[in-house]
Amino acid sequence: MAATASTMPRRDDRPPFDFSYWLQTNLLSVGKIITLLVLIALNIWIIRTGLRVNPLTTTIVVVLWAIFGGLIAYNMVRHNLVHGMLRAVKVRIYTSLHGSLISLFLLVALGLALYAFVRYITFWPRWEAVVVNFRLLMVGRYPRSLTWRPVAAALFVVVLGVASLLTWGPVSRRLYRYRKVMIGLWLASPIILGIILYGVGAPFDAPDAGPLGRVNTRLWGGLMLTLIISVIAIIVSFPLGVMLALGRQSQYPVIKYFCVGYIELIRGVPLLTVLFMAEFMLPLFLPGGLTVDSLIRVITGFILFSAAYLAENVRGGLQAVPRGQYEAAYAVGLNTYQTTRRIILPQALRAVIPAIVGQFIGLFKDTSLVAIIGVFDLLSIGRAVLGQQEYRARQAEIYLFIGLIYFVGASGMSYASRRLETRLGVGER
Amino acid sequence: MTNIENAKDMIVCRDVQKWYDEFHVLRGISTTVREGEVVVIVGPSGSGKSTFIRCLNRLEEHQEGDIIVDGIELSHDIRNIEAVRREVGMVFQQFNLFPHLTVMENITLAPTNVRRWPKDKATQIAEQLLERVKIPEQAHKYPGQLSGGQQQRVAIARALAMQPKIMLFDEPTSALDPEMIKEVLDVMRDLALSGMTIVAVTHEMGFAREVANRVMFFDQGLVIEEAPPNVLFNNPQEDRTKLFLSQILHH
Repeated sequence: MAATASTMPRRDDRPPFDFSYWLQTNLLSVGKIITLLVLIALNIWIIRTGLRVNPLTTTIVVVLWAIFGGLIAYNMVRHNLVHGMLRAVKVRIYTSLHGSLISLFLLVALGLALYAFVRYITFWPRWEAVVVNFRLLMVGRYPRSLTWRPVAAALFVVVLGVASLLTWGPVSRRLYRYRKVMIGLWLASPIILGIILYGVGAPFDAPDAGPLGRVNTRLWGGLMLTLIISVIAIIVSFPLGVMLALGRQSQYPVIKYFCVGYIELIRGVPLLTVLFMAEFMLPLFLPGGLTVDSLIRVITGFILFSAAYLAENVRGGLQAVPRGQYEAAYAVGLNTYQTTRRIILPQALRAVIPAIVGQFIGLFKDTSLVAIIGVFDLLSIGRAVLGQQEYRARQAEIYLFIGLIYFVGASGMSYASRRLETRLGVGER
Repeated sequence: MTNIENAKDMIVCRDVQKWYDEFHVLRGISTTVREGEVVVIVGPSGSGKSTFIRCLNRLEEHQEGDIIVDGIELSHDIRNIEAVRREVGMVFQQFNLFPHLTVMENITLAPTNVRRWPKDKATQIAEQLLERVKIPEQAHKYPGQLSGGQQQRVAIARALAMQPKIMLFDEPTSALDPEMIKEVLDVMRDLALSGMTIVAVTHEMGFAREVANRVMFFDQGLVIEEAPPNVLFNNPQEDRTKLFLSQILHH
């Protein structure tokens, strides 16, 4: 419909408006007449509803539309070219009779939806459900007196992140020498965060034993737990997936068929099954007396699951690298490891960044499945909040809040992926 | 180019045979390439000439016979293979530059990783090589930003950066537009005149006439005829050679 703009003849050689031709193109078939009638009915219905629910918006939209449509029709009849802004409007709204009725329908519907949303956000929500339970949503049943520890952990990560951005960013070259410090801190961060969140010192399960007494992971929950599970699973499953993908191409049958078997086995099983296995079956296989923390088992389940899917994504990238790249690398004397590390993997991974990030976004959202084995992640804490008598009616607020958090996390990853792609020049070759 | 007779053997092939499944590609190739010698291989497509040259640095594996390069026998021993590849540079028809690395990184990658040269030394030698192939100003571009002829010259510089004793060329000008062939041949000619041992698969007869010590004519996995270029081109002995030459020279 929009293509008419470029093919429109110039003012002088434009034919005069031909009403019978216009009728032919717009009305001369049963199908067109039926859709036209349906569209008109829809418009009348939605405008009437709109006038009742939200008279002002609806009137404004319809009047504006009528003015533009009228002007354009007037211009068409006078066979003058429609200029500038009017022309842009014409191309977007008034392309044909059907097109304009659809536009009107969508505009009014959109206006009503926007109105309903704004009205809900301004008058309805009782955010105290979120405010009162904020601590619960963030850290779960982590002891109230020790809330400073998750806060400190979060601060540590944020400060380290900002400092890294400064060190690697274009602020000052003098900061470059701190890069090694930053890398060291990042490498040490699992231990540091572990000490802050889990604690040290003797008596098991004794949060009151000094400022860094142990806090059992059964008490962890909320956003904190969701982030811990997804970040660890993403970071650990990445190298594992790459190794599985490489192993699948190995010339040694033992390695190759182990990798193929593993990948196909995991891919043939739902994530929930893997989680159940990790939670209930794994302890049966461990030698007596040896117990592994439930949270570690859950995270392991996610890692094993994610690695198999990642391996298949990476394999796609490996297969996209031409044979000539291997040959050229071998011909200059690089060995297999150097060839893989310097030539093949950089090209293969770069080609599959979108797929890998997509998978990680999926993993982030799938962490909500841990609810089924009794781990209190963000979503299940939210459900627990709704279980309280006084907040039973606050579903909309709680789910909006949780949805917003997931949305920020997922779209942040998506944004980072696009940045990375631009920086690495994907598709430039 | 003088005294080739007395020079030491760089490549010795004895009855080299190779099969692709049932297909017998190389049916007994025996030849010796001496230090400083320039050998040009010609022949119809499918004659095994590319396969043969790729056997010389073990990009393809031969099944029977011996290939000894610079005194090292090519066998299943990966250390031997890597030792040979360090001393043998190769230039491909499709350039095969590393697209994710700059020209400079393409050239310095192997010297720094394989020869373990410090980065300064590798960069300095790369700059000299880029001068030699006449594109010093392209050092920080990516291969995708260069013309075909420039890419092939970078590929030559990349191979030379390892300071090889032997250079293999596998149809280096076949993928180039006609106006770019000359710039690549000029570089190859300079290299040949500098005393490098060269084995080249190419149909550039001018190049062969000018710098080759010997031309080998391959057909159906065998060396049909080999002789200095003026002898082989002007006075071929075998019917198959005559037919092939008439086909490529009269087009």
